[in-house]
Amino acid sequence: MESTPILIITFPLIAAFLTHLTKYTNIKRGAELVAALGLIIPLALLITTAQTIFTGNILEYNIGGWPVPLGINLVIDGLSFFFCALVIGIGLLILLYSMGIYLYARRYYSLLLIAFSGILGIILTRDIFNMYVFFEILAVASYVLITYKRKPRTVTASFKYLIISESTWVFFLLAIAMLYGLTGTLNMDSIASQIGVIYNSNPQIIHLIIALMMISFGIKCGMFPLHTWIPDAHSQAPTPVSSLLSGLILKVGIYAIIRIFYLLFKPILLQNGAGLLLTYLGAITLIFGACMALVQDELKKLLAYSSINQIGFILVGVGLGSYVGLMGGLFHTINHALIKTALFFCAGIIISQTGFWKVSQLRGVWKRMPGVTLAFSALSLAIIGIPPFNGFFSKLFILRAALMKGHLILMIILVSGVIVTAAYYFRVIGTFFIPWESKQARDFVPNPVGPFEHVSAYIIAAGCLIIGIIPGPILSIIEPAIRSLLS
Amino acid sequence: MTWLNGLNIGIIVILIGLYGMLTKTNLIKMIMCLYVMSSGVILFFISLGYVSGGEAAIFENGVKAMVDPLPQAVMLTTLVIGLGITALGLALAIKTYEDNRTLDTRKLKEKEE
Repeated sequence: MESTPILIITFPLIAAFLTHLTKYTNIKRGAELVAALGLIIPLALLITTAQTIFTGNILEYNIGGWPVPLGINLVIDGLSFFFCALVIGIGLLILLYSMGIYLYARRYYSLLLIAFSGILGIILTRDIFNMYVFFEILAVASYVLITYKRKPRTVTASFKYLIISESTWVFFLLAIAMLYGLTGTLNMDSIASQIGVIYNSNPQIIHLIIALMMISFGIKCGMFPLHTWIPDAHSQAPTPVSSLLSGLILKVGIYAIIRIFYLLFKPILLQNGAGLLLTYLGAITLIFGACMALVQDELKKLLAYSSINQIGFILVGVGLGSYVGLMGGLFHTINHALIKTALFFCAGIIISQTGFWKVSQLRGVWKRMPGVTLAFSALSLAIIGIPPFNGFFSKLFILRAALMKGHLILMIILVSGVIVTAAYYFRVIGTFFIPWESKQARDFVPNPVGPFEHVSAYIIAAGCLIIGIIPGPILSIIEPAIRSLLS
Repeated sequence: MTWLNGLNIGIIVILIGLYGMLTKTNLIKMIMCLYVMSSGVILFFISLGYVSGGEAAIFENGVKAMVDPLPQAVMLTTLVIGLGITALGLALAIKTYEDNRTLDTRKLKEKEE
């Protein structure tokens, strides 16, 4: 169908408004139902396009029927298809987790769907200003979602995120303005066709634009000096929102980096080592995240710093610019999205059942919650990269890409990053399996945790094992994505 | 005075906003600085499409020079987004004040620790 791209964006948006109307019906759990439908329909639509994408074609839709340089166009190509599938898949799992308890109401589902709509819009659009607008939609929804359970610390975390994130979007707008001034168009493909000529006559301005873009996307994906909002926002947000932030919003930053740098600046990137800049920033991010995670005592903060660490791995893979590097980067994107989502689910269950949020207090929880602790351990092994799980292959690809380019220092950094990752996750697992238990606070009442929460975590843990054993199907989805980037 | 055009003034306004952003510790002032930065970008972008003595881009007889309408349309969107963000930021600032009885980031940091 020709109008599939626009429908994928609009269905979650329509559902976001319909969730509020379920107040006036008698359907039990109407809001959850509408929210699930708002993601299942786009998934079905996306699957109908799979045939076109796997044969190497693209699906294009011009909004309002205006041809390309004038109007906004939405495109599904290999990369968009890959990221859309990732977003909708993780989105459904987050919904499944949220369904468990009645804690999350209509307003929550509505905001969640607006966020998904924004993410899908960022992924599908080819108009650079339109991308900014969708980023703002996503940002506003996520600021409010962080404060959903209002506590003093959630409000300050959200405020910090708002100030840091919004001030960098000013730089993105400035970059858009410069690109528009230079090329006279906002369409990415049209800009890409003109950028080589501009670079030959005036390389400085292109360097400036790259720097501005790097700042604004670095914030979204948590690149090293711009990561400061992550630990607060991730640890203060409600559990499913932490998963959304870590699993999807960081990945949107990665998507934007890949899309902008490979579509717009590819010749410059490969020629002058701008890609290496990305790689080395990734390496610093990796080491920094690993070291900070090592000293954290709060479980959710540890997971947040671990996200920064894994984003570093992805950036290294993406920045290397080779086929294997991109394969590793994209594969690690999907692995990290899955694993970190589930790790936050497990952490949420453990924290709400015990009332402890520090690792040192969580001694011997395996006796009370064997299933969740086992899932947490399995997922930790997966993210470290222990062979039967999926994290192993993605890290292997990234290592191999570094080896093929002959960066010895980079390889040492990558390997030591893996070792430190293992160190801090084994500290957590080790505490879980200590034979004696921590003393429970006397007046503590555990929050109810339903089967949905457990099921969503177990599904992902099983999925990680299956992907680790049979990585073929996932690699076949990544394949067209890389082809669309390197063609 | 050729340097005194919209582009340069836009950049100066952005830098003023950025300076305030980096030095102010009051939450309300930070939001104001955010809006100043945003205004600078809007001025910069609109000046890109400005033609001296130009008219609105409506094709009629006698129109020779016209300004580029796209930056104006695009910046209208940015203005609306900026309004929404400012409103949300101020709402968060109010909640922060209700919870902590202070708007100073240094005192908030002390309270958190």
